[in-house]
Amino acid sequence: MRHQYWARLIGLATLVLWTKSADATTPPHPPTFYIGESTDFTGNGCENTDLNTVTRTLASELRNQSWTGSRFVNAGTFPDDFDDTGLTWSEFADRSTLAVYAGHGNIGSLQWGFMRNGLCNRTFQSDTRLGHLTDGQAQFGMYLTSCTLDNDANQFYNFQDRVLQKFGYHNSPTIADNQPRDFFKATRGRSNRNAWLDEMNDRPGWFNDDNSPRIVSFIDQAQSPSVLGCWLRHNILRLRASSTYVAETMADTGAFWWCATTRDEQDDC
Amino acid sequence: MKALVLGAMIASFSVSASAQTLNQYTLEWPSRTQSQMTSRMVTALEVFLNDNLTSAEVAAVDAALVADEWDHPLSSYPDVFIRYRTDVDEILISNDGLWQSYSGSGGISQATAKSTATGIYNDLVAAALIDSSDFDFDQAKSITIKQEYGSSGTPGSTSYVQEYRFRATKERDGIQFANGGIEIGVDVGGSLSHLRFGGVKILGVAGTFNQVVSNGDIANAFSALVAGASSYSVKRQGLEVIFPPGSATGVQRPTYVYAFTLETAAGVISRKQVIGYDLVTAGAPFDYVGTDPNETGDPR
Repeated sequence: MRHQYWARLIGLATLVLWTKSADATTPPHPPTFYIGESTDFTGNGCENTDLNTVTRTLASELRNQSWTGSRFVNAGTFPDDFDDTGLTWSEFADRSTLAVYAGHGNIGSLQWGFMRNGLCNRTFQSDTRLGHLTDGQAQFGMYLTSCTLDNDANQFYNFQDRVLQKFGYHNSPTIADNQPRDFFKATRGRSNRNAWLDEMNDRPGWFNDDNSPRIVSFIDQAQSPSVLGCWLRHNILRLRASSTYVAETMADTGAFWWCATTRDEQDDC
Repeated sequence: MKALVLGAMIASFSVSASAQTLNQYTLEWPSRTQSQMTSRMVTALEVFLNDNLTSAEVAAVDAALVADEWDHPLSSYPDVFIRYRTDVDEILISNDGLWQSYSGSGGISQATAKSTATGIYNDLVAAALIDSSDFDFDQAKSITIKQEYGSSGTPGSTSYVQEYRFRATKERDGIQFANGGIEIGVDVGGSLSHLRFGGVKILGVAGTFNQVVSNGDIANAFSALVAGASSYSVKRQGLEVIFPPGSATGVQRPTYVYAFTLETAAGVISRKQVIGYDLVTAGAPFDYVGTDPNETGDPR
């Protein structure tokens, strides 16, 4: 395994060189977070099944690691927090390094529990522009929802968000209360890729949940002439090591590569 | 574990006699000393690496477990990640360096990977880390870790398997014990890549009980439960012994489990729910995930 270690160092050095030519927009540092979570889906205009809480301990752990940000829940989280329409409140999701939503969803979409301005659902194609246009600070998107990163409908090639990575599921997961926290904790020493795959499949102490976690990375083709740069980014970024991404951005426009890893449980959405 | 309430869709159903007699089991969540945990992790690492750890490496493993740091503590194997979840007695070992060796094509077959995984499984049995009476590894579920990539503006993608994984859930008498198991991964280059095992310990059979609530009544109750949804999808159903983490040592009988999702008229799919119907007393099912509708966050 020793030669693999050196190969990793060479890969990291290559990525650092690419970083020098990254887009000039400077992301916030130290890192920040925005979390929206819906657990109450009964009688609020957006009917579905109620859910367990999965981001409370994630927010605590982020703060323990000196991240700053907000966690809005149920009536406090708005569907249009993820919109890019020039909204002006300070908690806008695209003003944070990490934007998280926990609730229900489907392919490329999210469902909130409380209707606001006639809205329950938002879609990546029509509504969200994380990482560019207004605000444009988000580098990571985390979706603790069903099927949001299912690519059966071939959505990745046409994503409108411009973030470095998205974390989500190919199928409908069962998520334990502390799993997102444990994912973040594991990125102290592991890549987001490995941590997401291993922490977000079965719940701790369960061996038949059949979750299919998926992580997708993006890189501008102007920055990386081949998809290799996407894989390097995919395998190196660590949320708890901000040095691995503090200088990394996506341009507002232009072609990009995407690359993904999925735990395939042979279970469609 | 809570009684399930889905809005107004609370199931109620009649009780009818059933002649089926089933075993019930004594279970425990193991509680181990620090030295026992270190010993188990070291043994598992030596099986995983097919190498003996030095005393310095054993000390490094012990220090990592004491600090509850999930990391790569072995200087000779800097890519090997370890994690010990003490609350569920679960060990995870992963070779995090294998991503560099992918070629994007070729590699071993799933059958070859299964053969490698079975060899490791047998080594773990020989090392007394797992009990072969808990598993039918031949019937382990096959899972793949897939890589996929593409370019913006161009539909379609290229995908390939990077790793094969095989997961077996503990079982006795043909019934799954959802809270214990093993998963072994082999990458397409043929190297052992992943090992996770542990969970609840099956101490033995604790007598029998007679099923009172019939399978038909349970099916009717589930149908009533999901009747309000636009559609639903059952992901898994059948008898399972479920002993959620945190339970004290005790006797548990199987429940009839449904893992399912609901879909709204607007096309939104719920996160997966896992519920279980008791076979002796009719009533609302147990909810093995739980709900927190009154959760609040930061003031806005």
